[in-house]
Amino acid sequence: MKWDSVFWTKLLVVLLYFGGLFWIGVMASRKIQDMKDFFVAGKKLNYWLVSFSSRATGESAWLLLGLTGMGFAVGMHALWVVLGEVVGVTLCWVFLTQRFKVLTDRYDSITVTDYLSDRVRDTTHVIRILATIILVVFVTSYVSAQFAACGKAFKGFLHIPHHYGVIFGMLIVGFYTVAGGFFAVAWSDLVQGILMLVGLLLIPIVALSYAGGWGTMVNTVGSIDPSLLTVWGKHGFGWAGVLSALALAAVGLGYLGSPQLFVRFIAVKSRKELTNGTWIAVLFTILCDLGAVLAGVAGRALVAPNGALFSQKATLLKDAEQILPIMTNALFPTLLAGLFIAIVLAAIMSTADSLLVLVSSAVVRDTWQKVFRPETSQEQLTKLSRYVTFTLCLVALFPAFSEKSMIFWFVLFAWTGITSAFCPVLILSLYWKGLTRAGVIAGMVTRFFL
Amino acid sequence: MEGLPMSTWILLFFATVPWLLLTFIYVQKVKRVDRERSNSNTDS
Repeated sequence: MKWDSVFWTKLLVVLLYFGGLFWIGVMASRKIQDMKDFFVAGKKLNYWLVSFSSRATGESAWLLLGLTGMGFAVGMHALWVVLGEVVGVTLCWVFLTQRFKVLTDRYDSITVTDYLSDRVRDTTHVIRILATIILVVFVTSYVSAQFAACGKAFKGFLHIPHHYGVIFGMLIVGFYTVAGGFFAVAWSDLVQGILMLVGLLLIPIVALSYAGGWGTMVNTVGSIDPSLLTVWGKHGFGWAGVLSALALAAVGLGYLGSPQLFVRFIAVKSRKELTNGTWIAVLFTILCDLGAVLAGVAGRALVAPNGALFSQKATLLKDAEQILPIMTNALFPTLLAGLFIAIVLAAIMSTADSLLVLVSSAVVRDTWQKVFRPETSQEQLTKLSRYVTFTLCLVALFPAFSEKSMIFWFVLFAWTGITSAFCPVLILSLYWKGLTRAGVIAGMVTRFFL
Repeated sequence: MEGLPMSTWILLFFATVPWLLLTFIYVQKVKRVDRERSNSNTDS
């Protein structure tokens, strides 16, 4: 760790960002009157908050570090991820959100499990308990992965030891989430979403200008390896190429029913707000995803001989996910490089905060209030929500101390588990009147164990 | 545009244009339905 002016400037930007989140937490805490405020912001959010919040939560650090790295490693083949994500987000907003909002208002739901339970008239609470178990298992490991990503970001950008980064990340996310509940989550997500959008628009433009413009960049990348410019990548057009493309595009399926995203459609003020939000969500996805892939591809041109990042070629060929940190450090002034640290942390934190509130709502609303203690007062429920959120922070903290590369596998485990347990039953619940309680339970159990 | 193979441009097209078009059609349709609904409520 070098204690020079570059380090202090970057740290100052990060601390300013943390200060902003702290302020959001304090302001939002004044709005929390009851459990409904804590878990769905009193159902008062406008379309800006809901659309940015849903996109910032849907895109974790994977977008900034993973997709830029994929653009660097496999070139234009990574465009299949863009296709998958844009299709998933568009279909979600066009075909699912408004129906879901109408039904959740009709049932006065606060959580996705509330809705599923009421939709199939489950008076035995089996769906609630099952959903809580699934969410606690998968989402806690997802949060852990986000805290570990915080540690990795602090180490990569500022050379601060991993475990300090994990603790900083946990304390900040823990503070504003415990204090301000879903109000704080939505407002911080808006700020974090704007930061991510600005960053992913800026970085490919700067990288392209360093690479000599579009034509030169394409020629340089093509001269390194022509397969980097083709959609089938190094596999070529054949079974391997098609399967690889389908696997990349399948990432977008997760947007069709993940509870951490759908809780926002419960929290929106009215169904009409979602109409305007559709534009923002789709445009955000197109711009951010294309920006990430183009930044990675342009980065590949920059490691060519005479390129601005040639000296980093060996490091990048070993770990392509370092392209964003290396590019920002090399191509941007220190202040902006500091801003990019805040942007990566924003992507991590916007996912972690939403997941914490989601699990907390499953424990407090779906299990404690609905199954065991319906008579608990609103004041006690709000207090309990805060205790549970903080406890979950602590539970998720310890696995995150490990520096082994667990982020990818934890996220894969959690994302697959949550989406496969919830997406099919949620889609069916919106479009199939014949869906039964037994069907929902069978669907969730089967997919949980598979 | 220069440089990229045609298949890459086609993928880029399908990753963006149809979904923007679908969003446009959907938003216009929902707004029209909402407008008609609010008009009929006012009339009655």
